[in-house]
Amino acid sequence: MSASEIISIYAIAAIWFMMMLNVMLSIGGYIYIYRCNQSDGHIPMDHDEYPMVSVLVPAHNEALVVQRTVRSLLNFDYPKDKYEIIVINDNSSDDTEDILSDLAAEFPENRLMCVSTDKVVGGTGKSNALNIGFSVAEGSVIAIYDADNTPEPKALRLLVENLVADPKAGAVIGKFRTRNRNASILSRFVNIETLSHQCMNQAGRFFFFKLCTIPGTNYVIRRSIIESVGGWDVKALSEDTEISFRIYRMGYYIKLLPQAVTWEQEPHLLPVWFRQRVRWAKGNIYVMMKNFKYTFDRNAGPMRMDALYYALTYSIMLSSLVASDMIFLGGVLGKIQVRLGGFSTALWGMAILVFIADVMLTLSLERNEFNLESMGLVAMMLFSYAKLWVFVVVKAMWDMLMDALFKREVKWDKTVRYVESDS
Amino acid sequence: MERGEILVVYPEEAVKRSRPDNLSAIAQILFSMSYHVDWAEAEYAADEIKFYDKVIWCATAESDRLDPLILDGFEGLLLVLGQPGGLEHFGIKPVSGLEGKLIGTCDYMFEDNYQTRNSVEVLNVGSYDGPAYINGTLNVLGADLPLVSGSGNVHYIPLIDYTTEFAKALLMQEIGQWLWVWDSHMHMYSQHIVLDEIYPFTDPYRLQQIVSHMVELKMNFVISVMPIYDHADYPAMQRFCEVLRYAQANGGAVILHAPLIQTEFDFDSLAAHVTTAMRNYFDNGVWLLGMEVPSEWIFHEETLGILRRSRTLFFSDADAFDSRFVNEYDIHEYLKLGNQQVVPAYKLNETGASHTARCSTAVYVNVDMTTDDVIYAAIDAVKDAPIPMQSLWSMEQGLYADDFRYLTWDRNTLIVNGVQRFNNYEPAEIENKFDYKRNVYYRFVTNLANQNQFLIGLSGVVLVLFVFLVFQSRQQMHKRFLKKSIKTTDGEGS
Repeated sequence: MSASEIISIYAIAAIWFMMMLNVMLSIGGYIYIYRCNQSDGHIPMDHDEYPMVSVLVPAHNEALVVQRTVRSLLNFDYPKDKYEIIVINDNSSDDTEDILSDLAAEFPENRLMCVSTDKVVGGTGKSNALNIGFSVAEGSVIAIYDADNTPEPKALRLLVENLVADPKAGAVIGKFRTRNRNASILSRFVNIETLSHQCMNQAGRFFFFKLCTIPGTNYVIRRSIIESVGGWDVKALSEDTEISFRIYRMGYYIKLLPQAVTWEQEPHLLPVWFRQRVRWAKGNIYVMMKNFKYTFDRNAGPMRMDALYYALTYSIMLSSLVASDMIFLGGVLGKIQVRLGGFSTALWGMAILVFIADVMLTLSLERNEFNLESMGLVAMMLFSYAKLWVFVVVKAMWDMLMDALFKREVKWDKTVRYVESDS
Repeated sequence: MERGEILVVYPEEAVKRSRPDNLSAIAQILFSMSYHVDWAEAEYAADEIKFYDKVIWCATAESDRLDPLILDGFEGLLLVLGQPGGLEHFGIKPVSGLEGKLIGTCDYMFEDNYQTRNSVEVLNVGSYDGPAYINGTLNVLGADLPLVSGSGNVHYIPLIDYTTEFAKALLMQEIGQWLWVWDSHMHMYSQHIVLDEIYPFTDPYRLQQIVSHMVELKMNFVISVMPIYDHADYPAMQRFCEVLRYAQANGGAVILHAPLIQTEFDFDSLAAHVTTAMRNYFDNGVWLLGMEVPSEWIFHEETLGILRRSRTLFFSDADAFDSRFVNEYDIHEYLKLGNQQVVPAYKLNETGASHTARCSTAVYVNVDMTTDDVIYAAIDAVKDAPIPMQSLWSMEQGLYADDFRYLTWDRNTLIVNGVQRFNNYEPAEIENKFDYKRNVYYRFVTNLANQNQFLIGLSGVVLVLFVFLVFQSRQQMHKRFLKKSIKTTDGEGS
């Protein structure tokens, strides 16, 4: 048996293992979301029971989108006297501060605060900005929204009600949708990926293991937890994933509430998307390396599963995809010949069908997403968008290696925004 | 410049427009007969023709009008194919009333007295005045003419399509006749019946029966075995080789079929594969006397290197002789090797038996793809044919591989890898309790059919479940938004 055949078997086994793992998570996620959809998600409380909430919005040069975001936050159906909005204008060089000042003047009855930083204390990333915002926050519950978000009015109330009602929940996260999904074919792909991978996958993990990863926006967290863990890790490029692991270790779980929805602007150009995903991948790998030891820690509880899941994704999934792509390419070029008796073309056909069905199952739970056009997009994704993931992770690993070798400072790479048309 | 023995003169249009297949057929026939051939477009032929004493004049389409002045002063052997316009001084004159392209019927007898009748096309057919040589008859519009005629050095065949099996066989026989300038009978080359593409998993009982049948008929026959690279010690391989040893000791000869090449290759890897296959057969007492190869192998340096290693070559096809042949291919390098070559017989009837003896021919029978009736009919036809059979053991043989591995046979002594061997058959003990070394890992990696079936089944279950869940969620969505819509309507009403 040749080396290429052994690698092929490994790739086949690993890909099918990961695919079946995702199928299982999709089934769990489906059941969870299906159940959630049977109610509106509210757990009514008296006015006095609603805690004070500080909504933190880190903003670095967000003049293009921040006004729309703040207006959405001001439009929450949460009691006006029970929440404050703190926008951390993090070393911006654009008009962000002026826009916020105008908004504060326009809505004097709301508690809207702008904390501006300079390049001495700010401008080093989202974690640092959140820590600055947190230092002036008064709420016992902290809510986080990115500066490009437009949450639905009920989102905050839903999140807070579910957090208060469950003392074991350290944080409650909502769902985020793509506001600019029709901007380009890329944003169409991102929209589908957001729903299928990020939401459905989260729901599946929560259903089976009571595990969720904070998505970086549209979530509430107890103030006491932030204080206990000493704020956000400024070294982490994906501070959300990092803090999720620390919440698990404190014995809390993170709850997913799909009825709490925010709409956000996703990259519609490939270079912007690529840079954002490389940053995410670097952040996730950092968290994986930091927490992998807990996979073997019997006292770590369910988070062992999450640590293992991340490790599987960035080791087995990556290596198997690289291997299968190389063998495919080698085969096409006539450089590699694999003779594995017993495997049929039908198997690959079934794998493609399962992938498409898996994603379509997720879309069936959304309004206006389940249609033939989406099915065509999903099929296209498999051979285009999905393949990019390998390049993203390889680039992230390369960057991390270079950062370590040359002792480069880890930099926050802000996602570039653009002005959306009103349509 | 090195020149061939025969010059084929053809019009430029023959390649570009009219009938390049005819040139391919002629090339294939002359290759089969091992002639070194050169090709010349009519435009350039005038300067070349003086260097040759054998010329084939190919004018097989309406546009193929060759300037007869090219042949001025030519006194060698001339074979005219197609329309003979302007060659009156060679004795071929036009026949009044038979101008243009016409369909006729020809009767022709091959050298084994096999009589045929076929419809053929002719163009501006001509006639010899008092030919010294005639073979076959041609009936066109009620006129009876010789099909092939000749006088002195010149032979004339009026047919214009040489792409059919009949026309190729006819042309091969007539080229042989045209070039045979002596009074004695021509040498008759042999034919071989070849059981083709035999694998170890070919039904051993059926193979044994076919072999035994030919042994009983005291026939010479050939078995072309596929190369085996792994598991040569398995009982199945040993049983297979047992049949081959029995065959080779009783009139049969075993040759090695070329590896099936599906990807790019180089000489080293190809030679390594051939060496492994040879070793596996030699180790089981099977003495390979030659190779069966595709004709394409003539034209590549890598494969030519393999052809150099086998004294006897069976060509499994003539597919390489396509229309590119005239301009691009050069087979002189191959012909210099001087191999004993065998080409596929032209199939003139269902049995496939050869009816020409102008070169050594093979009648291929694929045991796995052919019914018993057809196989036994082919065997009987070859046995009863006047074209003689010849054992490969009656010729000197040599087969070489990497690392000084070789087989030589000088019609008396068999040397394999430097050791004298004997071609006799003694039944061998085949181990019944063979250890296949099939541990869990081995079972998994060598046959993934079960895993394949399992995963397909699992995917099927997942798909059915997903379809059900999709149906359920769409119903829920429908109810939710229907309820909202009704609520909204009620609210508006109140």
